[in-house]
Amino acid sequence: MLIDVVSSVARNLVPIGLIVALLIFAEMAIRGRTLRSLRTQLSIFVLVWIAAELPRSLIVIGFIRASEDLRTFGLVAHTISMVLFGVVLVLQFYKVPIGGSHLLEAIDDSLNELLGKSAAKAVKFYVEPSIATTNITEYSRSLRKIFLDGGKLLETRIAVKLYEKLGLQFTEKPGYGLVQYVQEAQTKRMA
Amino acid sequence: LVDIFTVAGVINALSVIIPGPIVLYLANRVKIPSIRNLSILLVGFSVVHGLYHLSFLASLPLIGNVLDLVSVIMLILFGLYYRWRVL
Repeated sequence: MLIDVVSSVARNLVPIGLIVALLIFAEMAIRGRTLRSLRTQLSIFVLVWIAAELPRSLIVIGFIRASEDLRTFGLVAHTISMVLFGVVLVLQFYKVPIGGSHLLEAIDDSLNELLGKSAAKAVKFYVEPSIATTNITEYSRSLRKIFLDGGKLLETRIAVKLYEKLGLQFTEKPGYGLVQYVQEAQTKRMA
Repeated sequence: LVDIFTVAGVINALSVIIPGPIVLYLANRVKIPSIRNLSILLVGFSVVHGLYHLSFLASLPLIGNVLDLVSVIMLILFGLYYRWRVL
C-alpha cells in the first residue's frame, strides 16, 4: 500500500533531517551569546531533543540496537526536552517587560509605540533586546532583516527615545543608523 | 497500571501541543510577515510533533512516521528562516 511505502521512506529520512537540524541549531547556539535569548534556549532544547531522538530513529530503522534501559533513558530525555520546549515558549512569550538600561527602555518604548504591544511582544520574542546592549550591530541587522525598509524608521525612533532618556539633543543625520546614533550618544556622554 | 511509554507519550504530546495556540494567537495579531511566518513554522512544528506522539498512542505508527518527518522538516525550515530573516 502507498501509506506503507510513504511511512517507510519517512522513517528512513528522519535521521537525516535530525542531523541537518542539529547542524543548524548548533551553529545558532554558538552564535547566541546569552542564555536568555530565544535562539540559545531553542538550540539547547533541540540539542537535547536530538540527543534522544536521533538514537531512537536509528533504532527504529534497524541501524543500531539498544537495550530496553537505554531506550527508556532516551524516552525520558526526550520527554524532558519536550517539557522544556513548552516551558521556554510560554515563558518567552509572557516574560516581564524589559528594563534596566536606557537603551533597553528606548527599544521597548519604540516597539510599543510604533507596532503596538502584541507585535512588539512578538518582535521581542524572536529578537532578544538585550542583544542590543552587548552587540548593537547584530541587533540593528536583525531589525533591518525583519522590517526591511521600515527598520530604518524604527532605528531612528529608538535613537530619539534613547537621546531623550539621556537628556541629549537629537539631530537626524543622513546615513546614520542605530549603531552610529548609539556610538554618538556614548561619545557625547563621555565628553 | 499505565506503562512509562504511554505516560511519556501523553506528556510529550501535551507539552508541545499546548503552547501551539499561544504562539498562534501571537502570530494572528502580528502584521509583520517575517514574524508571522516564523510563528507559523514554530506552531507547525510543535503541533505536528505533538500529533506524532498522539498517533503512536493511538496505534497509528504509519501516520506517526510521516508526522515525525513533517515535524523535523518544519523545525529545519524554522531554523533556516530564523537565520535568514532574523540573525
